[in-house]
Amino acid sequence: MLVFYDNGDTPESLVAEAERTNDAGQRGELYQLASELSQQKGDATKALELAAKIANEEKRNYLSDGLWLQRAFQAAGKQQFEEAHAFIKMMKRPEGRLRALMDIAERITPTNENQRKQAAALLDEAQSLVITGSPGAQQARTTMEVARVYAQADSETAFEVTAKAIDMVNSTFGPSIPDKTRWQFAHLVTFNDPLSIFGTDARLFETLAKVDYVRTLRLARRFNDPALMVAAQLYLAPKK
Amino acid sequence: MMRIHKSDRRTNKSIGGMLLVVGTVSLGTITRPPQSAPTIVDRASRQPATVPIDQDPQRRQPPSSSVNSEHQESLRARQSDALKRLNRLVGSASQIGDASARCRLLARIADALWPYDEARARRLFRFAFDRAIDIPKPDNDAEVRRLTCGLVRAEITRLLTQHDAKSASEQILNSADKTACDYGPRNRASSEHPRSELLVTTALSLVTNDPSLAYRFGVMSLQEGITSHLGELLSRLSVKDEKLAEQLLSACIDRISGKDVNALEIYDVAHFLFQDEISKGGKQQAESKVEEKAELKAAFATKLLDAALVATDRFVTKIERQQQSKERADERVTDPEIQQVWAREADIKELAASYYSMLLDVQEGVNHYHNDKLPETQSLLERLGRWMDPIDGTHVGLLRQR
Repeated sequence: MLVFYDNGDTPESLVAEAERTNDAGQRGELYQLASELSQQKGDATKALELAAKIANEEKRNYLSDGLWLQRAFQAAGKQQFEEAHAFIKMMKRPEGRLRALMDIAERITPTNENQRKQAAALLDEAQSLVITGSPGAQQARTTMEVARVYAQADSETAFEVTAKAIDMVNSTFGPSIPDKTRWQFAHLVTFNDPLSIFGTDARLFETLAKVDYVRTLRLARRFNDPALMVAAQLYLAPKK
Repeated sequence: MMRIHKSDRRTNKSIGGMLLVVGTVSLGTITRPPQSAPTIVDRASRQPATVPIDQDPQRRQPPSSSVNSEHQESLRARQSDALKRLNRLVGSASQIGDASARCRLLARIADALWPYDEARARRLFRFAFDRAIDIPKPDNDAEVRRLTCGLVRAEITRLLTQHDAKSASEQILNSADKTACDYGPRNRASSEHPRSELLVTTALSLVTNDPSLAYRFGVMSLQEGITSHLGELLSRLSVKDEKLAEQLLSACIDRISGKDVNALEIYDVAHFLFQDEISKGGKQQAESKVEEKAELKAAFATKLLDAALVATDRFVTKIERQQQSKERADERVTDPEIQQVWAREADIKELAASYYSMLLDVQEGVNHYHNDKLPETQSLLERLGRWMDPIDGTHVGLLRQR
């Protein structure tokens, strides 16, 4: 959470200070503050211009991706999902883009065929992005998340993607540590235990079981890891 | 304008977020657990006896009409099958090698079994809680993300609390003198200790029916620090027993004035007492209800503000001592007592900024209730500002004009 104090700073005063300083790190921080302040004042275009002045690529991308994401959420809030998708395409960091695709797809309530297609388009792109990462637990976990969102819009694809995710889990030995040569996604900090593969949302197996209980049970038993097999079957227990 | 990072402690993603609220099977044939099995594995290896539902008065179902009898029969068969599988899962879960997964899954199964076989569910909960002690303690930094005995016990407690808060609290009390259960490091975002969080949330589950026990848990939680839920506990306790709430508030203030604390501990107590009165947002502050908690403020405002200033002075003095002859803070804090109350990753700049942010809020309280301490507060803000990131130090609104 960021808290702004009214101390007389303006985007212009911060930019002027940034241009005066010789310290590259401080200059970047001042541009970042100026950008955030512009965004807070409602000038998204200026915020992006100022973010582009940050020399450090990682910080620059992180900030500008956040600004594009805000615009995507605003568009999604108005049910303008194509526009939201266009904003997501502007994001540089693959993990940010991936998360945004899933988040926006989840906001679509698929009450008609058109909305279902919109959600599926976002998720198809997310799925294509996931497979560019390093094989391992993180990739498996993300695929499981994609399957969960699919389950709301397209249960048949959700079954297929879940099976794929389970196969990824079954061929995974230990957590994946991205190396620079195959680096695609920033490493997620998660608990290093087998059940973390399900993330924080248990709805995937519950939702699939409502569509086809027996098929979901078969999927649950597909895990090699006994802990995951038990956990997945527990997700299927009928609710009172 | 300037931003400062504030606590995002309420976004804490612990394993609590992974809790599985498994529902249960209704009606149908119920499996009865063996009564004298000494261990879970032994129990699981036996063939559970099945008894018809109408033999158990607690599980008797309403008579079905001839119209829907077929549907009822189908439902009963499916539920019976589901419950049998649930019972079989106990056996499978008992044989899982990973101790944290084993205990968590047994607790989830217990949660699912509870309405149909409470006695067995209780035994499973007890077993899972006790055997969490088998979870190996992480022995190097690479393993810090492993689940600890304490985190797993917290998850089991949260599940059991939904059925029987009193039993959940007794389980914690019975294990309180055993120090072998490791809770792992403090939360990176909030610097809260997982054990404090477990104790205070348990207190919250008890406060309506047993305020005295809730108070006891609240006091126990202070041992490792004040957490963000303590304000809620104080509020709810004051409705049930004003005197106990005052005693707990007093214990918080004693901790702040007498021990090294992290800045968020002070922030939490200050916000419980003053609420929007010390908000940085001008509108919120203008709309704050000053008359709320008037008696409590009359009794505790100056004590809390004094304690906050004492704690801040103690903190910044230690930092100044460590940083003698250095112009900027560029390292981690070395004082072992300060290290104990913060997340281990935090450096001096971060700690100073956190104290600074807290003190800006507290300054609003000083202005309203302890005006004579304003110069001291401003002096502390200046001292803290020296150890912050230079940009934050310049733009956070140092010495804001009133």
